[in-house]
Amino acid sequence: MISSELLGAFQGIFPGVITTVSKENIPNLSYISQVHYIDNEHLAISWQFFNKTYKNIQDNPNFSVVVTSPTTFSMWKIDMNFIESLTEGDLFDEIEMALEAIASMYKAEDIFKLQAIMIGKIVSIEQQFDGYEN
Amino acid sequence: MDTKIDNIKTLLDKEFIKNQIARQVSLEIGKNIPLKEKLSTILEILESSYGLKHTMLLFPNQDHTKMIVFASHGFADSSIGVEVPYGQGIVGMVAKKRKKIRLSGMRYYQQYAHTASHKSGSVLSKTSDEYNNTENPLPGLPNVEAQLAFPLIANDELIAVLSIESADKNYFSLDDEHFLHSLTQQMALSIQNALIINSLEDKVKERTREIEMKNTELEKLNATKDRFFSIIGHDLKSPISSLKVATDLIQHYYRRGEIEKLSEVGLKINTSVNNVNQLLDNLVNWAMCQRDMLKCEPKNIDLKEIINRVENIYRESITAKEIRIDNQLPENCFIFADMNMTMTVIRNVMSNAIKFSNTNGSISISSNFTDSDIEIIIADQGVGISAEKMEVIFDLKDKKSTLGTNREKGTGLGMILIKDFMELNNGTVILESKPDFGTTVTLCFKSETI
Amino acid sequence: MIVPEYYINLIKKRDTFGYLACLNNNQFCNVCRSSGIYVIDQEFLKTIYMPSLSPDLLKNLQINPQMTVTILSNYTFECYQFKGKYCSHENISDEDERFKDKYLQGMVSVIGELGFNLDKVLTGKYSKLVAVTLIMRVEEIYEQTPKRGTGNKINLLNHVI
Repeated sequence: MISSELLGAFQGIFPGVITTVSKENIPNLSYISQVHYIDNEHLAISWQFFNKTYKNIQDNPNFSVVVTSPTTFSMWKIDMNFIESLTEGDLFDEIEMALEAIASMYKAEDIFKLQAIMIGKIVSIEQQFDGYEN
Repeated sequence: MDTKIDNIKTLLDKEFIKNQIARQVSLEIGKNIPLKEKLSTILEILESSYGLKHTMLLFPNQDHTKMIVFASHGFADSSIGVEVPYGQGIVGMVAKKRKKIRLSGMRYYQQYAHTASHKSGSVLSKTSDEYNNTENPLPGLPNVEAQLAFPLIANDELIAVLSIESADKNYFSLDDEHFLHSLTQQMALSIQNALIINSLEDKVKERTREIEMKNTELEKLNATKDRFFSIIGHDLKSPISSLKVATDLIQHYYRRGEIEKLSEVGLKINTSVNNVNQLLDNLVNWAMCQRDMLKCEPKNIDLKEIINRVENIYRESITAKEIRIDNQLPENCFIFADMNMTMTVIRNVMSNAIKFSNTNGSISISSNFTDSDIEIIIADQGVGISAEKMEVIFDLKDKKSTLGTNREKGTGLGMILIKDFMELNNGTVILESKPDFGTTVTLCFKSETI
Repeated sequence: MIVPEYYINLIKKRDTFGYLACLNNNQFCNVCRSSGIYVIDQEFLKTIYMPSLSPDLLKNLQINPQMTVTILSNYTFECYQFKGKYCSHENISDEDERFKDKYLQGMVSVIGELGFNLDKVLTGKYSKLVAVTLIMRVEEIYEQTPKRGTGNKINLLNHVI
């Protein structure tokens, strides 16, 4: 179940991280900007710079994402299986459009060029820290 | 259990508010008030009922290349009229792609853009002004953190873009997005209808204006046509009648052997012919001027020579009325003007001066020089022009010509031609007159060019 | 690997946030936020970690010592990944406790500059979580700063900043 608090953490106000495992069994840890909600079982991550992460996923489709809520500091770890990488479609267009809009404001078209979006199926969600005061 | 009930209650309350907003917006759009007022009220409703403090509605320009701010709420600078090109910023991108955008953490992107483009220095404390394109700043909050923008589309046409901004940590939820999306689609069709009605009203106003302008033009043309017929009907008829009388007199005096009286008649014929000549000349010139058929071809011309030529034309009339011409123009008085038009102007001025001078009167011709102009002043001491007539002296409509001191006739076109021709030569004419004291005409020409 | 001075200093800055990760037996990673990192003896990273965030992390490190720590500068977006081997752990010392508190205060003010007030939770509930320090020997450093061509290994011999 993805609560509105968790949805808020997807916005990337505090950048989240993604971990993947190489075929030599070495963990790779990169920062991500946003996680995009698709439905209660699927999430997407937009892709502008990471090559090692993508390479690892080809070898091992298991990856994890840790996100933080900017309002409560609650943190979640979400384990996922890679399904596919998209370079077109409604979701790709929507994310690409948002990035293009930002790029146009800061004249930084090459920096905000969307390479692809990675779709993952949620395996588990673990709340690492509950920031709400009781 | 209590928590569950509380949660359900909160959800129900929220749905109730949303329905209320939808209803209020519907009612507002249905009102018979200007569109701008309606939209401003709707933006106010969005704040009071849904907490959306900073909202803006933009409409596309005619060729769909820019969005223009039409109504705004909650901004220090209303930005009404500010343009956003398609594809520029969030609003511009929504207009271009016709899809909604939801973004948050805008400051993050500023910093990201700054860092990733290899600029150095700590950036966290800078404001977004320092990142925005300061040559053409986009309208909106300078410290925006979250933004939602929706395209309003009806009948496949982009009607408007609604932009909602927030400067604080209250980013927009998916729920907000869905609700506002439905609301904006409801607004789209209503706004389109209102715009169509406005546009029809504007078209009607424009057509009415066009018709009024055409009417004025037609009135002018009618006046011209009436004048034309009046001239042909009356003003030309008279000198021709005089010529007929003159020829009868020639036969009469010849039969009676009164040869000495023939020269008197000759003088009358001369006057009549000059009159007809001038009247016809003026008529043709005026007609051609009306149809923009006259070309002004200025060159350096000797004004003194022109004055002398005109004096010769009217020699008989001048002699008959024993008028003294005091020509004080210096030698080599050159102006830069069209020869034929200048002849017409001088001829008409002199003709009037002679016509309205009393017997034994005098006409003075003098000049004034400035750096770029030459003023020629032709003054008579004749009957002058009444204040009433001065008011309409350059007007065509309802004009009646005035008889000269020897009952000389005119068409009234003379002054109009003088004005038109002086203007075509980049000059001016000033008329000063006092009944019984005479009239002074000051013509200002351009000096010769070197 | 001797960690160059530049990174030693960068890690210590108050706006630098970090995460640590290791493998678990399901071919996923254990990963969580760190609450303070610094370099000791030029070759080792000492990371303050709260076991409640990722309870199996320490256990899995002892099975497979391959460890990764990634840091991000919130001011400049510089990002570096340190790969190495877990060496040891111990309960947090008083000195490190003070270091952790100072670090969390720093986090509060950096987050405050972003427009969020998390003072209460960071210095309250979060700060009270049990903490442990982990020592990792650094073997490789990779650049992860968001820009074209990122992801390269930092070659110590050619290291120029």
